[in-house]
Amino acid sequence: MAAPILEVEDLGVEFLTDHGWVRVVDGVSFSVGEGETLGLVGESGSGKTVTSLSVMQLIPVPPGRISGGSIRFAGRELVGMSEPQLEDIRGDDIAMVFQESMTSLNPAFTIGEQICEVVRRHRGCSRREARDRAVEVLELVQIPDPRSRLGAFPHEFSGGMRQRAAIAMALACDPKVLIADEPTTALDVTVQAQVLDLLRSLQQRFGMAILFVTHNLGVVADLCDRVAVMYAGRIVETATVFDLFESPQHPYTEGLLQAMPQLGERGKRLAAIPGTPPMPWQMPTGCRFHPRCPYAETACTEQDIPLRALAGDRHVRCRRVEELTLEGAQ
Amino acid sequence: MTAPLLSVRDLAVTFHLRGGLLRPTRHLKAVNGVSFDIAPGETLAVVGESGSGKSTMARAVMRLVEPSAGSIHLDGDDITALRGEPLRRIRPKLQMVFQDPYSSLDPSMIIADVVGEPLTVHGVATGADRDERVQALLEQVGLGRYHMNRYPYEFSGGQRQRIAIARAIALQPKLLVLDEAVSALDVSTQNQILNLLEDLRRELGIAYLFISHDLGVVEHIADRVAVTYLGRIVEEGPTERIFAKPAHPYTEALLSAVPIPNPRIQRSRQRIVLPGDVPSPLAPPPGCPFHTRCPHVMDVCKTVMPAHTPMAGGGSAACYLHDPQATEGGRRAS
Repeated sequence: MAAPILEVEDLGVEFLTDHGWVRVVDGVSFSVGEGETLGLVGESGSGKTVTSLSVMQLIPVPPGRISGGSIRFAGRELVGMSEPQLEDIRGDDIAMVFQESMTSLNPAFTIGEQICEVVRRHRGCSRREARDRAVEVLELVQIPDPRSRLGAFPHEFSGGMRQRAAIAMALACDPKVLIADEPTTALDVTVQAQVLDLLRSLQQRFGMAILFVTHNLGVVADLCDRVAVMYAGRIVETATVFDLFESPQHPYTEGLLQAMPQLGERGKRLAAIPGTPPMPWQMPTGCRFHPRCPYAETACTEQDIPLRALAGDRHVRCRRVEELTLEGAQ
Repeated sequence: MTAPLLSVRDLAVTFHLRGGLLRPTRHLKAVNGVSFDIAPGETLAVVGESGSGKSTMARAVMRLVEPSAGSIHLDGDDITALRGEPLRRIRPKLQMVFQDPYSSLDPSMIIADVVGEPLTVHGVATGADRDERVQALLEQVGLGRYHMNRYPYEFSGGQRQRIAIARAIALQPKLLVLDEAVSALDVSTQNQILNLLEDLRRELGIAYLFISHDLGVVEHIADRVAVTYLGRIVEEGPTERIFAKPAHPYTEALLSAVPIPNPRIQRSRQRIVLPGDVPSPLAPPPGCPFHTRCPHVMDVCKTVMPAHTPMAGGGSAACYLHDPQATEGGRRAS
């Protein structure tokens, strides 16, 4: 792995709810190397989006708070950093692309104005220079005739074009880290294929690190170098993409892989993980996956299971890892 | 083949978008010249991207939107123009499950009433008899009697979709229209619902019209697949043939765009990335609707919509590549 550019260590995030302070992200650690794409995978409620928002310190406070841990960008601690300092980093060194481009772009300003604002805030350049940069990045994301599109409003773009414009805006200041939270989930598959191709070629050209948050294992297989799997607010497994799909070490990862309909045989029953994920205020004791795990033993329900390092830069949170042989993707 | 349960011929649905003072009324052809059959107990999946008209097709079959042309026959009866009481009488044969289980259940009704309402409305059962049937229905979808007095907010997305399915099968329909019924669910929950649908089909012999954008799910559940693009069916056929030997360039591109959840396979396969976006259904291109993005476009494609040509292995595709005469002429012209 290349030198880490983004390091998250023992991150805890809590929200104040009707059930008191509830920890939705608990002891999450991972790092992203320069030029690397890390996939953060999990189902809804697993804490993957809260984790990605925490990196940029974008969780709403209150009701949320970062209750512990450390987030370092190029060695600089982001947790507890002052708002003006954070603003210097957001959109410049670390940029973000969201799932809903219609809501992440401001409907009242033109695409050009929104990109120029980012450039002028961070580069302090003239309007003309900012406009030139905006044209450049729109061209980069393959928006046809970019100069004439500067005056367009977000609603005048199709969904795919809006997402490309949002990516252009994120790239405007050559970020070192791009955080992409389900950036293709709202798009049609043919448009998703375009956006994934675009991200891949941009990364090859500019070498930024990407933290790619998704629930879609197909997209992970397509784009990511390494993967961290989250369940119930914790990372249960990290591995390179090939290792993870070939020989998953955590029963939850196995369950997710076996649940992909593409991998099942036609006419055969689909594998389903029984039950549902726990609510964050009712976390099971011991391993949080034990109520749904086909391999659970009494001991799994008793003590907390640490994330253990295995050979080959892998980590897994399962006490039976040595005894179990789990099935990967065919 | 036995007589089809549902027979749709040349169906068209046009929405009229009212203009303003200086803007003329615009006509959006959401569905245009669509024909398909569903046999009793069969699952037909309609796949396509947003704006392809697949949900409008489902709604037209349900008679929730008015068709502007064509015919819909259910179980031998022409239901295209039914209204009022006669329409209400065929409703028990034809039920629907929607995408979003949060908005499709009335939050102020307890589950016994949600599931029991169709029984009351159609005079099938009342009182204790009704509650008994509701309990049986809930058990059939994997819930229990202790759920009967709860409200929708107390259930997870997957459980709500089970409730919606229990309501839809309460009147023992012959056809269930499922519009993106598992799209809002996480994979593990999604598979529980797909297995449930499979069980119900086997036990009750219901036919499904399964609307979806997820080709992985469709490959698993469907007997036949119809691929839609800009309001038209561009290809249809048995699931095995469509997935193994797609005939229409759009079907081929669509299948190629779905990432396979195995990095070794995914990274070594030949991918077709289509240029551009789906054109606006307000201004569909002339000729084949796909010609603006098609890698095999010929001159003839730009003027006349191709007819469906039967394909080896079953089904048909609307593409000049499979029409020997047009290919000859088109190649020469281009």
